Amino acid sequence: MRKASIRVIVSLVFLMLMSIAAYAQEYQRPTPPSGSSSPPTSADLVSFDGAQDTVVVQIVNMTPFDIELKDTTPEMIPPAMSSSSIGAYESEMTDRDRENKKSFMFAPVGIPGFIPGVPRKAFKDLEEYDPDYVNTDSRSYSMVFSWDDMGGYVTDSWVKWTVRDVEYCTVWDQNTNLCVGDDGNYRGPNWATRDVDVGLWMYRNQPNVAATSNAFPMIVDTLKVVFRTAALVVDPARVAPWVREILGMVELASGDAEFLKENAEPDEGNKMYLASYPVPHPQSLCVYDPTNNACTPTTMSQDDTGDGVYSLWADEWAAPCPDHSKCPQLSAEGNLVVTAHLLRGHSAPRCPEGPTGSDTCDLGSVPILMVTIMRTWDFALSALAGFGNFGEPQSNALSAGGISRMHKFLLQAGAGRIWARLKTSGEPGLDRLHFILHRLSPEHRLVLTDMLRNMGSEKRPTQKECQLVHWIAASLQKQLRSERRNEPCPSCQKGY
Amino acid sequence: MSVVPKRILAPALVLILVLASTAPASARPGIWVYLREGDEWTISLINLTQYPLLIAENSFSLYCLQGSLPYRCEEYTSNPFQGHGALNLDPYRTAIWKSGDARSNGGFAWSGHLAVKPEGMDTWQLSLNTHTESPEWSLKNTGKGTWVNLQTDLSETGNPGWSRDWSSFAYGIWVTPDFVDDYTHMENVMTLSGTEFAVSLYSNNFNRVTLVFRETSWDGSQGDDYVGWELNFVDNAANSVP
Repeated sequence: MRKASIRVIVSLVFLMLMSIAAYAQEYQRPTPPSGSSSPPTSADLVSFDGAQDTVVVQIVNMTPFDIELKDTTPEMIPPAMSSSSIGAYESEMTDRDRENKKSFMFAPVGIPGFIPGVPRKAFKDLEEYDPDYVNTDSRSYSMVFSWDDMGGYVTDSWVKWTVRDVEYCTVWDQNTNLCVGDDGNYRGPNWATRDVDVGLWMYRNQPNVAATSNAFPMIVDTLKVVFRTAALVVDPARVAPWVREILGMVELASGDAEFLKENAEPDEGNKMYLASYPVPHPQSLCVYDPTNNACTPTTMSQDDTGDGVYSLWADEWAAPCPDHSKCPQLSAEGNLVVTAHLLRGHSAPRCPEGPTGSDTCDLGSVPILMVTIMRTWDFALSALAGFGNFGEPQSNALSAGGISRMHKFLLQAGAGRIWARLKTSGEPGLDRLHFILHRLSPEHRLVLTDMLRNMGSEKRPTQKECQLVHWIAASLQKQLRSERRNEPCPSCQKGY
Repeated sequence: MSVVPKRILAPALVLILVLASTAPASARPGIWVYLREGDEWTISLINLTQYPLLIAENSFSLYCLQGSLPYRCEEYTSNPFQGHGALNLDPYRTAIWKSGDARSNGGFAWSGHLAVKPEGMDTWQLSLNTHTESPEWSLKNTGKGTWVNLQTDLSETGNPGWSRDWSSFAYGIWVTPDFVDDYTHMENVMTLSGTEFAVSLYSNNFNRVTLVFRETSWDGSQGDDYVGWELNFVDNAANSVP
């Protein structure tokens, strides 16, 4: 009897230890079954590895937080850049025996090790805001990835960065709609910071799926607002080359419909998935699920893996929650959104036959994935405002799938009133909307992030969502009216 | 009809092939491209700078195996970026050139160079050089292949912005070892790193060659923002390697 009790206790302890071990593990992406064409997550975009087995990636940091390559020094190969098919690829990278067939990913011109945050004086909700500041500090960080597949096809590759000191409020005041201790101009003691990882995954499982194009223009429209929020110039006449490229100004000049058709054209090489999104905390409910099947970020749609996507997490799902109950409603993990939009490459036709010197061969291009990291509320502003740029869907391609549903969802929720106000008010309207969103209560934030998660689905907006959008539209109208009449704006804080 | 004995024929063929070599054994480290029937060759340019990338010079001559009837080599392909002599590749954009179909065994090889520079940055001009090279002899490996390498003026009078710290990290990334000294090693990746640009020429299957220009944005005090690894591998078990 006593032995049996000891066995039970030992078993219980073992199970607890296993549970703790599983709970403390790093986030693992869901892996589709072998031979499956399913994407690992709905944040994965279908691309091709092209004629060169090469993908170009551009990363833009639109947060005030610095970003560092995770766990690395120039002298060591980090676990951050790895591949499932590689055991010790440092030795492969330096193996000069040409007979040894190798298998690994490499980055010929390196990977950004440090991406500085946008200066805090760019952000209107921060104390350091300087209205005269024009952002010439930010830039995109470019890199190239390629694969040596001689020793076996490399399927799973990834790189991770850490966003340092992501700020979040820990206690919200329901009455003032401010973080407890804030006085409207300066922050109180209830702001905290935590590091959050962001991953870039390249999954070369050669899926047999169509490469659709649908969301690129929509992501660009939201980024235009995000860039303005970070004091960047987006005027085509004065724009920096990297901004022009991220916004696809040349490609979209021919019109959205023409672009979407071109971006859906098949390329050479094998199909693959590209994804980037924040990583949930190791002690989150999400990672606690031992199968990780449900541990995927929320995206605008669960059924499209087109050419553009945004990804975010619900705070309660991705924040540390060691007790598995009463998980925090405010978190660093929930305060980041990552967008990804993809310019698929296209193959170069073989040079035509004929006497040399008489022909000019058409050229092809390499796939380019553009990743932008931003604060959730800057994105929420951009989504509410930027989607309005669409007006009515402009083409059959735009009216398909998640994009049309998002537009319809927002209209049903009453966002048309917000778009109408913004069209007449311009930049001041954006400032007001930004202010309103940054002062939403946690409950309202939950409703809004639910909206961001649901608006690409078949769901209709809930009553709460409609009420919130109407409240935002009414607040915007009220504040703009006060401003026009030059009336004092009691709820306005520094910078607004 | 007289028959040439095999013991004479084989050495004679070897001698003919050796004498037919038009270039010395690879005088610089480089990438070996050897095209068989049906193969195609691509060169990609990737511009990761804020400047348009210009092809300043474009000069090639095409070699093809004599007697590869019914085609004469000059009738079935063009030279790299032919007609794109003034190619102005937009900032942060890419371009791929693809050869025609190699119709005969070992029928394609190029001699010449492509000089590339970011607009207005003349001292940072680089050349993608090619020369024809005889493959390792075998009955399958007839004709010529192309030896491709990266070159710029790295002498004492050259641009001092380029790092000369071979086999070492410079501005965050690994610089190809022994870039200047003659040696005969084959490479998969050749990389230069400087105060303004990092440039890499690489191939992962020896039919595809990619040239990348990345802006360094080195601020001179904190070091470069990029991290690299020692990229010094060779992976080509083909029996055509010279």
